Amino acid sequence: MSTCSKTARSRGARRNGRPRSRHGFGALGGILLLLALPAPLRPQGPDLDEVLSGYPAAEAARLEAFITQPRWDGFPTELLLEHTAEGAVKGVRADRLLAALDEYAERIDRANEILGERASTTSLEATADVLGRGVPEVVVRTVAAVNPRDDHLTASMVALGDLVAAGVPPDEAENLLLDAATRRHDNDDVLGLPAQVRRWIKQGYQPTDAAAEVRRTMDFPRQPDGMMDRYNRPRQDPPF
Amino acid sequence: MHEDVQRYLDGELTVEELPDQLRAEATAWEALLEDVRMTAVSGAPAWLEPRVLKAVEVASVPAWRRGLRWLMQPRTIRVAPAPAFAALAVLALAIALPWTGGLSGSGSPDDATVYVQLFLEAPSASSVAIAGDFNSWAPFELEDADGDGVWSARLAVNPGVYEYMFVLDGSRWVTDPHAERYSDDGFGNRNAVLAILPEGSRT
Repeated sequence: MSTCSKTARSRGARRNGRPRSRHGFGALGGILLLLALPAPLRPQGPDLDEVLSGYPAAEAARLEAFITQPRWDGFPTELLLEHTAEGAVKGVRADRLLAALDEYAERIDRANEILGERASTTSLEATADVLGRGVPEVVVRTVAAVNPRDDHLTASMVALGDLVAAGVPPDEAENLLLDAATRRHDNDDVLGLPAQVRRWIKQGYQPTDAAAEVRRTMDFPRQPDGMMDRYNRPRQDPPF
Repeated sequence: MHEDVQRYLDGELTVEELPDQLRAEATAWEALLEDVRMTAVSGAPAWLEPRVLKAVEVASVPAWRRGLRWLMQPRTIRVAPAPAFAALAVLALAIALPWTGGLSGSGSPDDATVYVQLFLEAPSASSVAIAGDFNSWAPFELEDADGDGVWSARLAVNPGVYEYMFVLDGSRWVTDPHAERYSDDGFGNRNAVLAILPEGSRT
């Protein structure tokens, strides 16, 4: 008599006259448990062991402990893993990588708080980048509020960061993006706004004036039948 | 009944063809059948059929209601544990897979792949690779087929926002000078940023 059947019988595990088999269900249960684990405990993206293989064991352990800590409950840890992979492949030292990860995580956290659960990792990263450029949260919130669709939000955040990088003050950049949203510009148009501003800057305009010039000359949306939007009539050029 | 009597009743034999000893029996059977014929009911009364049909129509239930009744009826379903676990595992995989794979920053499942041609002029380099969050920062070699010092690669990416850098000779990290936008990588370098978003009109 095998040990297994002894155990089953000793627990009185008989049903319909047959001993209850426990074989095989452990593995299936394990698979289900693994699948049911929350995403933060199983970071997606590059393999963590592979990413950290270039670091000495003690430093790799510190990095792993940072990435897998319970603090990241609900946090898109795949972004942390990607950033770690980036730092590792670029040969960044562990202590510097840890500091950079901490700062990056803090920005992603702020972006997450502003955008809420609706945000994809792409829009989160774009928003975190904007926050890292020193754009006030109120500006980020306003731009996010007028872009409920995630791809529009991402385009606007990328453009916002780019405009600020070009020297446009955040509130001017915000106005430009609000105008674009009001005029229902598509993603390509929004992403093209910083290039337009840079063209005016190359002409000798100050960034603020360049942004104002782009707003003034901004295209107006057309209705499907080719008519102008009645609520967004083109402004008249000044008579000088 | 004798076989010949049966044949007589079926009209296959005449009474003259029957043996004498069977004629009386045949005549008796014939008389009996005639009696039955005379007393049989010719058919149902005319009023009965429409009345029955009407009753049947009232009693019939539409298919959708029968289906709903079937769905709402409590039932005992007997399932063996192993197939049930397997079905659950497949279901869990189907739910989990779309969120686990793909490129970082990829968008909705209906995103179309976009091909991007990237190039770098580096005549003195013996190898040029590109690494970014589209390939989890695993360097991918560029080609300089004609040896003119211009290295290029064609990448297939889903719409998204990607950061990348070039790697010269396996160790020197270089920012793409032709990028439209850049981002601080947090490690003292500047990543080039590639923003490819779906055509998202706001109509």
